[in-house]
Amino acid sequence: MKGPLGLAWRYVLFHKAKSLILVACIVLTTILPVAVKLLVWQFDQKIVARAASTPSVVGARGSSLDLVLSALYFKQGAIEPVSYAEVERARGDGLATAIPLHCMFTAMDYPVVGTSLEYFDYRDLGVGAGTLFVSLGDCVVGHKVAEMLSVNVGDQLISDRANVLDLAGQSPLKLNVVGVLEASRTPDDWAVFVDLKTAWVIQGLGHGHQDLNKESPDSPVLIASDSGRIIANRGVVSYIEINDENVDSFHFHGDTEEFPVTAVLVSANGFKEETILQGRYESGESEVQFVRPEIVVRDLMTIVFQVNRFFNANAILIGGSTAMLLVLVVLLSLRLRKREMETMFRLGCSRGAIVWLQVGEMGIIFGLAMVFVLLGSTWVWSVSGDIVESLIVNSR
Amino acid sequence: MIQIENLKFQYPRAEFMLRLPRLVVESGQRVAIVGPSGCGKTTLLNLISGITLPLEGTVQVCGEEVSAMSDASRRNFRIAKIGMVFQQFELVEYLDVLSNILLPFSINSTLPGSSGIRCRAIEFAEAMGLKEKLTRRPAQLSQGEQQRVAICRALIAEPRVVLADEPTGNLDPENKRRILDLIFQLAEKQNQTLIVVTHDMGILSGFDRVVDFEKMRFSKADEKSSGSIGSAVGGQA
Repeated sequence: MKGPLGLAWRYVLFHKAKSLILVACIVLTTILPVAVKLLVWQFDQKIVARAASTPSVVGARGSSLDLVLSALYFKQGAIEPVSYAEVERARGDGLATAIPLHCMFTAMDYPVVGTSLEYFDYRDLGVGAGTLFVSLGDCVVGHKVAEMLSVNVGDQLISDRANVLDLAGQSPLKLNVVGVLEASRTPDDWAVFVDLKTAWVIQGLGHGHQDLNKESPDSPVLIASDSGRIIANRGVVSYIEINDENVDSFHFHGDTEEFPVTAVLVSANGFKEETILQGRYESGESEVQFVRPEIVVRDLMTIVFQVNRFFNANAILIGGSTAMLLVLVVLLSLRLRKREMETMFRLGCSRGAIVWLQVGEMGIIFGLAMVFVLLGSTWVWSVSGDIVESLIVNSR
Repeated sequence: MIQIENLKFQYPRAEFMLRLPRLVVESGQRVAIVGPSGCGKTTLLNLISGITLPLEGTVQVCGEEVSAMSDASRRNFRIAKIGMVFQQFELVEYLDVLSNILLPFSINSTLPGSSGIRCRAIEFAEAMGLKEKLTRRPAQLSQGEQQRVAICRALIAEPRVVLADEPTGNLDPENKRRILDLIFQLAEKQNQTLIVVTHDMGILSGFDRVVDFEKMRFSKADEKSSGSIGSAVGGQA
């Protein structure tokens, strides 16, 4: 490389440390706002896409955002459950498809979502291996759960205790992995799906135990049997695993219509049907609310973008101060190199060429910085989906 | 030939004014300009090379009036006709020896760069005893070696005039003589006019003429007509 640009390149190469520091300053100052911008954009795309694919949600009154986060991202503990009767109510005599969601427990720290088979069609989730759940105790794991826990069809997952300090509480249930979902890059990848009844078993609303009619004389557990009411002592064996041998012993106590669900996904058959349904929920003093996730999420994103504006202003200020520091560095460098420039002038270099030499050096520094910014931005872009997903998943 | 007539020069906001009634240096002469610090020796070299322009008077180098040229023409003239050697060597720290020698070609598009120039630079370096150090940086060289690189750089474009400002000022006695001999040899080989500014009276042997600049710049108008530097400064080494 000849001429001022060649000299500039050799100067940059010779002063590697100084050049790298300058490049790093520019890269860091530029890439942080770019990365945040990309992440916010990705967050917006993902969260809005998920919300847009969920026409409406019914759940307990309270925070509509918590309800949406529970229904879309399986966030636990934020809302009160509603009764299963609400699922039938949401169907509204054929006005809509209603899918129950029960999200109160975890297995290996991943949310256990009790639902119906309709959910998989609703979310367009394909099975990568195995099948969907067919009987009580079966579970289908999301793609990421299978990857993170290294589980596959035929393995078992144990539900987590709701309260590890409550020794008398419900025992964990061994779930049989019968299927692994294809990757969907949605929160469904990070969940364990079971039939709603299995979720109620995990909650302790249903259970299975040894047949009290076939009591062993060696270990009597029956205390009383009176007019169809059977009372057993604490020695009765409750099953913590559901299999072909004991599945028939599982039963529920109470009316399943009163059993809890955390949310109901509602997909009305049309705009008119949706309006009728909404009207039903909004009239009177209903205990439940009917929300459109897209509207709730867009409200949330408005706040996010407002916060982002503050961040942008901050980035501009930092960028400005970095630019001023860079100018200072360049000016000091020019001062230090005054003799060098003067020598070049004496040897016949024009003032214009000397300016080009300086511009070339800064151009190379900026060029290198921009290459790194581009590479970094591409990398952030490639992982932003995963970052946003994990941010959403970890926040639940 | 270099011919200076009725020269007046003053730096902005400075009391000192350089006045030089007449100075003539014949082609191929080796001239030493001596005088105390601050008497204007370096300024004279800048005026000859066209780096600075006189307030009054004329400076003719190789038959061309330097002060009448445009900036670009003066620069091109300086590139083509004048080679400069400095007291502090003024090598570029981030270039190796060979690149420093070739610097005039790197920074001037008017000088045609070619593989022949590179060969000449290597020949110069070999003649200066720098063959093994072509890839070294200035900081890796001794002061004598650095000045030899600077001399190669000044002569690579085969200028007609070589201006050296205190070329031995930073050298030890042994290197002083060696460097001067090298400058003389190369200048003689290429029939170059050599003007060396120095205040070191110990190196004056070997010059065709010695100009006492302090005396010369205060010479009377009638002395101007004498025309030769010998008469103006009255000294020959």
